[in-house]
Amino acid sequence: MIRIIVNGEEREISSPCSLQDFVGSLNLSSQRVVIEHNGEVVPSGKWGEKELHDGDRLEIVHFVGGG
Amino acid sequence: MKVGIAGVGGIGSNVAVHLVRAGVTSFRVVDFDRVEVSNLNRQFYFAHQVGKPKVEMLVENLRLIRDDVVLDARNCYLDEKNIGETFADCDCIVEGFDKAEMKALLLRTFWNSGKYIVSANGVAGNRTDSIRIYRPNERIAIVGDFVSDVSSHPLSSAKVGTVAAMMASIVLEWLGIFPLGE
Repeated sequence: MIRIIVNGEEREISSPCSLQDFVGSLNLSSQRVVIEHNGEVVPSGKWGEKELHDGDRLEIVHFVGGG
Repeated sequence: MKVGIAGVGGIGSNVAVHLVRAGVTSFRVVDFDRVEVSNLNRQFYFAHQVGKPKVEMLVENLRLIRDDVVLDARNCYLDEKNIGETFADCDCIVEGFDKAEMKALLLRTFWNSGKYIVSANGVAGNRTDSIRIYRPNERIAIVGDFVSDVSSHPLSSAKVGTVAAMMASIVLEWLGIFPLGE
């Protein structure tokens, strides 16, 4: 198990785990989501390449419609 | 600082009003839409403007508040190909899109650009209790309840206007017109 920080809150996840695996477990539409990994935004095409490590920080924003 | 407004519907048009009243006079405003009757319940347009391009009508309306307002109004559709260059020279961008996919595109495009970005997320319905400001870093602020989607809730001027006013106050803080703590 590793510990990561998601939107400021600690989460325990099993390792190895890619960003793609983690986001997939949240059931979010990739087109409506913005993900920052350790300070850098990651396009959805690269989620599969990003391995999550102990202490990593994620900011996940899921957008809904209306403006 | 140059302020860009992406989408001038309920959020964009009302943020602009607050900024102009506070003395911000230079903007780039971008939208492809025309004023519709259904917009008049929350957007800063008037009945006689129905059918006209929103960006042009917003120029007209903001100049009634301050006649020295300078707007670079662009009546065009934004997508992943042109959004980067459209706001390249703006220091601050107000996200006022309707579609969630476009909101995410704008945030993704400018997240690491160093620009100040304020965005709306969850503005549908009428309840204002759960509106909050999420600041993933010191240059990005996202305002709304984060869950109320327009597909399942009607839009209320009171709630959209509340979110827009909160977004404007954040921009005024960034611009130094109302520095933090005052």
